[in-house]
Amino acid sequence: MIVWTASKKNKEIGVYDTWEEARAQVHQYSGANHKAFKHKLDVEIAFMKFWQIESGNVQQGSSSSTPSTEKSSNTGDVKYDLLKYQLDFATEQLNHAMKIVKLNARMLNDVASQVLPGDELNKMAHKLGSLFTFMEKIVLPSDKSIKEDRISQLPDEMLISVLSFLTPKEAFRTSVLSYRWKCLCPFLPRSLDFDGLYTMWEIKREKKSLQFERKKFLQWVNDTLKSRRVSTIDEFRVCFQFDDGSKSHVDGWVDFAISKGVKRLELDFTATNPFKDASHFYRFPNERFTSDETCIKSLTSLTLKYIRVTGELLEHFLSNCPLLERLHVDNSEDLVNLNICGSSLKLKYLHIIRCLEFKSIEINAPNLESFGYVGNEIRLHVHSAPRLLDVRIGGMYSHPIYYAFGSLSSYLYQLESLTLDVHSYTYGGVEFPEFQTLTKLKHLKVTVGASEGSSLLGLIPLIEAAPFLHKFVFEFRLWEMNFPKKARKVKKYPNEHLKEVEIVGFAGRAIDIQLVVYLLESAINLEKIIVNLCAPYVVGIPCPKNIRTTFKYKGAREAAMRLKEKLLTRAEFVII
Amino acid sequence: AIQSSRFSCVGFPLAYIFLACKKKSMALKLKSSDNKIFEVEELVAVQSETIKSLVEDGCANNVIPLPNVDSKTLELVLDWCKNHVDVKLDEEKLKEYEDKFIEVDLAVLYDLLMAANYLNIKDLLNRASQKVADMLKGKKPEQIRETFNIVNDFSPEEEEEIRKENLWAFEE
Repeated sequence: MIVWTASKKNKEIGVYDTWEEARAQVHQYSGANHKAFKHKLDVEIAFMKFWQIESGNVQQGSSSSTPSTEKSSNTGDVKYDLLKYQLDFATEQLNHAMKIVKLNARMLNDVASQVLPGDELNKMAHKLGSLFTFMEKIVLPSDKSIKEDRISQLPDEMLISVLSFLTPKEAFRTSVLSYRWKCLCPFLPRSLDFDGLYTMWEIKREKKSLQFERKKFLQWVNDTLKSRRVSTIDEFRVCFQFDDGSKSHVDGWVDFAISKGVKRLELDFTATNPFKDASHFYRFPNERFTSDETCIKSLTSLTLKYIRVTGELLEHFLSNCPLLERLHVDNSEDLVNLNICGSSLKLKYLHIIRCLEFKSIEINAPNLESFGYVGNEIRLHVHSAPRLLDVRIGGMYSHPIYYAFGSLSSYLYQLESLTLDVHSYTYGGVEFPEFQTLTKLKHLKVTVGASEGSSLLGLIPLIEAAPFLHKFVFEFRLWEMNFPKKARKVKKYPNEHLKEVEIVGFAGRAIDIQLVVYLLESAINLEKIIVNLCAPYVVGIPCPKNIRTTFKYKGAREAAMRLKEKLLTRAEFVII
Repeated sequence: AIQSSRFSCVGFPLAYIFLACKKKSMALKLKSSDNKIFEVEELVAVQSETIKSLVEDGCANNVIPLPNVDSKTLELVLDWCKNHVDVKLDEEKLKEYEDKFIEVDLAVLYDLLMAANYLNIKDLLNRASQKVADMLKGKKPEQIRETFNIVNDFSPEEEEEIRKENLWAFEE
């Protein structure tokens, strides 16, 4: 352990190397027992003493050597050489000392967080602190050219407040900047994100086996949770196909997240096969939340996909999580009725997607801004939603969606953004009823699944109902079924405010060309049109570009090129 | 007539109260670290919680020394406070002012941060912190170090170890 003896022989250097060695050992012991640290400190103190003596010796040594050199050569030169030698030596020693002091300070910092700082430790820290400032005063003047790093000098709480403006990920990345920043780590918000979307994509394409990958994924999550010794976690997200077979593991994760005061919890167990038997879906552990004590008070956002969760439990969350702002439930067969009510509800975002057994929902939410529902026809009662801005309504298969507009009628005029998922197998194609004027609507997104022979021109009344529409996104899924074609003529009203149009899943058949031509001719101030040839369900999914090309309709690009050449618009025409 | 006489009746005490109020919101004198004296209205100055508590404790009769703020910074801070007295100010205009205000070089930004912290002016502290955060956003560690003159005191192995320990944050 006493590595310093070696350095006694070599008066100049050797200190640094041996410290490296010692430090490697410190690293091994860090976080271990008290003794090892104490012992290390003893070594350090011993070295400090050694250094004092040694530097004394050097001074004596050099003064004793002075007479001999003086005799042999020019006095002035020797004096200069000697002074320079002494200065160099002193600088070197000081630099070493600085390093040692710095490292000691680091070590004390480590120790302080793990072991109770005894009196001895405090004294040591004090000593080192004063020594450090002393060294700084002496050595720093020569380093004045180095620009000052003032940000690292800010107090901890200020740096933490700066980092609080970043995402947990961005904030945590600053830990590699320097030791100063690493020290802030324990105070930063954490997020645990287990994203298996890409793997799921490969499983879907049968490149990997679900069983094997699931095992690997389980291991990954479990190992990470075991190794993570933090007091709080802000975000916990798992995206992978799990079902009730992995219940014990997933229950453990939920417990972990709750015990760490999670704020955003997302479990996305989306199945590769959407028609999978829902009875196998993971059942959200109701029993854990039925008593108030275990409720997640800190929860602000809850997203559950392909997980069986009951309406009672969701209501329990709503009444017991005072901060809950976001609730997203996707594919839960246990969800039947939901009553959202409470004057103090913070809820801003509520989306219920494809819950097959869902029957009715009552909404009385003073802060609700975004509401989404996709599924069968339900009893939808909106008693009060004064801040509603964004609505998504969708039907499954051929379910109608127009019933929803009746319930929402008193809020339609205030909407800024509207998303509609329409699936139409019918011969007539998409038809919209007469709409009241949507004067505030800026963004409209329509997803349509239709067969080739039908028509999309039924969308026009909807587009024309929004005179101030700024952006229109159209996602198209072509069902390749042959219905007889039927020509239709439409009147065109100029739309002055529509600036952006995006067509996703352009097929280049009569059915969608007709719509694009209508849009190009009626939107007289259009600035940009994007024609995306990829099918909507691959857009936004992390998959290689070459795979995307296989999800395009034959001849779609040529059709898009022809449309572009026709120069129906002055707008920028982009084909992806 | 009845109304006007009633008004004149209460006129005197009203005027008195008004005067008293005016007296209360008299100018405060603040002394910067470089011994410059700033005279500001109390309403402006008490946006600083630090000064507010001094005023409430009756310690603001003489000059209030602010040994941690130099005159250049104090001038800026007071400008901020003046523009934040009127809460009803147009939100858009205020935002415009704030954005323009915070466009300063790093050295001044640090001074503002420290001053806002010391004087305990929440909105200024938040805006300045956010400005620093914006400068950190979307940058690689090397770029951040360069911007802020941070010296990397890790060995490459240590840096690698931190990345390994916190894979979740460093994965793309």
